[in-house]
Amino acid sequence: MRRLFQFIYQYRAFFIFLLLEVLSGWMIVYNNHYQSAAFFNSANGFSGGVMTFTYNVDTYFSLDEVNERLARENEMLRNQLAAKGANTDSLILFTPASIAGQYEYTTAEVINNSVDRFTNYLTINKGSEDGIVSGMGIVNDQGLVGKVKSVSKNYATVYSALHINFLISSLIEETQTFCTASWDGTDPTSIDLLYVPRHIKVQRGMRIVTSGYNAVFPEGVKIGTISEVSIDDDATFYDIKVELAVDFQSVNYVYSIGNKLVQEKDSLEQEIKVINE
Amino acid sequence: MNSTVIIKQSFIWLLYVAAQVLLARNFILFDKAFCFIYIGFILSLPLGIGRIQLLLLAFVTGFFVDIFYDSLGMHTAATVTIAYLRPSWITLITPRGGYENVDKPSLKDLSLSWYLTYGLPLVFIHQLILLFIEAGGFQFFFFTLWKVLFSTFLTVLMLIIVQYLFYSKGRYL
Repeated sequence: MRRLFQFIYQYRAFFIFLLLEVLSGWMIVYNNHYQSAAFFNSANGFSGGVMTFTYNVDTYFSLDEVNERLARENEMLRNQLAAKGANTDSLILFTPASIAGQYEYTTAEVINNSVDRFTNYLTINKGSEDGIVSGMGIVNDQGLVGKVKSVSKNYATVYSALHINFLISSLIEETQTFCTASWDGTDPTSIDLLYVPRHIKVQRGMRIVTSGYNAVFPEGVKIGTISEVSIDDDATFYDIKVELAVDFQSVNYVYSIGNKLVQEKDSLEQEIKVINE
Repeated sequence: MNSTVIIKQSFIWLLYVAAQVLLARNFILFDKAFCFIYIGFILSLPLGIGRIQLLLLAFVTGFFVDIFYDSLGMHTAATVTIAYLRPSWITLITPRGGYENVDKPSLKDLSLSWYLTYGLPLVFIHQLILLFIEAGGFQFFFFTLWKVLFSTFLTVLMLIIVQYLFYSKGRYL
C-alpha cells in the first residue's frame, strides 16, 4: 500500500493531468448532450454582461444597416397586411381559437455570434424572464437562424444553423419533398441538403423551407435556395448545396418562436411511441 | 510563490483573458486563422513554477475561455495538455549556458529562435487538439489541418508582438 502511494506521489503531476483531462472530456460530452445546462456558457449573467458591453460598442458601427433592414421588413409586413386585410374574416371564422395564435414571436438582439468554427453559437439578450425556453426556434427577417440551446435569466445561447450537429427538418417547396438540411462545417454561406431521393426532379433555384413537422419552426420558414445539384451514378441520394437565405455574418435582430401547442403535440407523439412499442 | 508574484500573475492573467475575450475572439483572418492569445499566459509563467500549479492554472484559464466560446471542456483539454508538456519541453530545448539568470521564458531573456522553438510546437499542439475536438473527428481532416496551421502562425505572431511590446528587459511585467 505504501509503495502504491509512493508511486502515485512520484507521478502526481501525471495523475493530476489525467484527472483534469478526464474532467474536461466529461464536460465536452455533458455540454453536447444536455440542453438546459445553462450556467457555464455565454448565457450566464457575467459573460452575458461582458458580451453586452462589447456588443454595445460594436453595434454603433452597424446602426445604419440595421435601421435600413428593419424599415424594409416593416414595409414588407405592411404590404402583407394590406394584401390580407380584405379577407381575414373568413380565416378567423374557420381557424380554431387555440391554433390561431399558435406561434408567438419575441424580438431579441444578438450580442455574440460566430461563423468560422465547426460548432457556432449565438447569444441573445432575452432569457427565461422574457419567456424563452430551450428548444425554441430562432428566425430573422431573412429566414431560419437557429434553435435555443440553453437559457439563463436574461440571456440565451442559440445553436446557429452553422453547427455540424444541428439537423433541420426541411422541405423542397416546389416538389414538397421532405429532407434534412445540415451544415458541413466549411462555408458559412451554404448548407447541405441530405436524403433527397433520385426520383425527384431537383433544379437550381428551388426554394428550401422548414417542414413544420417538428414543433420548433412553423411551416414555410425560408432556409435558402438550391445552388448546386449533383448525383453519382450509383448513389441513392442527391448531393445538394443550398445557398443560405440568412447572412450569418450580420445577424443583429432575431425573433424567437414560441409554440403554444408544443406540449400537446409532444404528448400526442409520445402516446403514439408508447402504442408502437 | 510569494504574494507579490501572485498578485502580479493574477493581473497578467486578467489582461490575457480579457484580451482574448474582448478582442481576439472577434479577430479572425481569412475565415480560417484564429487568434488564441490567452495561451501566452501559460507559456510565459515563471520557470520555477510547480507542475501541479501550472496544470491547475491552465485548467482555470481554459475553463474561463470556454465559457465565452460556448465550448465547455475543449479549450480546457487543449490548455491542460500544453501545460503538462511545457516543463519537459523547456528542459529538452535548454540553450547553451542553461537557464541561468532567466526568470521566465521570454523573448528578451532568451532569443527569438529559442522562443520560436519553444512556442511553435506547443501552440501547434494546442490548436490541433482544440480544432479536432471541435470538428468532432477527422472527417474534414485537411480543412481542419489548414485551420490549425493558419491559427498557429497567427497566434505565435501575436505572442511575439506581445513579447516585444510588454516584456522588454527591465520592464515590470
